[in-house]
Amino acid sequence: MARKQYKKSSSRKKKTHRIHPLPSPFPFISCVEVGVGSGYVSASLLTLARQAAAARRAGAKGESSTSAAATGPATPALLAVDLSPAAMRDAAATLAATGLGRSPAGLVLADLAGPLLHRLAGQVDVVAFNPPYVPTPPEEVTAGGIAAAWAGGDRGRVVIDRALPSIAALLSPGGGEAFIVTVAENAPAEVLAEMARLGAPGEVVLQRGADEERLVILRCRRE
Amino acid sequence: MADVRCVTAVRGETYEPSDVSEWGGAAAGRSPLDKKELLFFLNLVSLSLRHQDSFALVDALTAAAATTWLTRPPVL
Repeated sequence: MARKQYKKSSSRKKKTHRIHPLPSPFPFISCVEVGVGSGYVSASLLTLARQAAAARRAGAKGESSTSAAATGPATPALLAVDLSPAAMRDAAATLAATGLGRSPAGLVLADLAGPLLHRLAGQVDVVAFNPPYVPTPPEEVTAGGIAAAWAGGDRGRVVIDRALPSIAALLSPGGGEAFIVTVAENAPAEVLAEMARLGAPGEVVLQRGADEERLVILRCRRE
Repeated sequence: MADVRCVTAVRGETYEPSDVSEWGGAAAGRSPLDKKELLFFLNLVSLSLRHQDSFALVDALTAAAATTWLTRPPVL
């Protein structure tokens, strides 16, 4: 009897872990946030992507069937990554509180975007990255806890520099875009130069003072 | 700015970004605040400062969504 129960459980486990191939072409506006934190940015990004998709669908209705087919259904999907289990819980709550709980959104417990690359390299339309950018002593970067939300080590660049290669690799060739938060101390021009070297040149699209910080938002586009 | 209800990673309260500016304006014209109001206001100011970077990022995303995303089909 016990053996039969074990076999049933084993069979069910196999089905649960079956990996389905991604549809091609991938019919989504695909978004990734690296370091989801509270979930505010992901919830905003998914809301914006849904609005863009709705506008696109409305536009396609008025066009020829050929144009509509080229545009595709464009249902937005989002994957949000964070190293913190607490961030996973809070981001899920934020998505649910914003009415996005049933949207195609996934939360991934992982260190930056590297673990996504084997399936999503070159397939992401929009990447948002609000890194821990505050210059801190190096030991604070690995101290764990809430400090991981801000501690950026030397010039605030330790986590940023580690994340840039995987972010650039995620972007779709021909227009995938990354939006990256920096502050003046991070030397944003250097970050832009590194993204250009990785095939995603960009520019400063927004600068804003916030308390003692000078925020500089970068927008990089994969060529 | 998208209407997002945010649950903070630190304290777990739910609030809307518009609450911050509304309470900031209300507090500027009223003095003194009672203790309950003051605590609520200080909490919102704290949340506001903590999220300024996220607000800036979302503003940049919003500007991009109004242009590129609406005119460019998915590249996948």
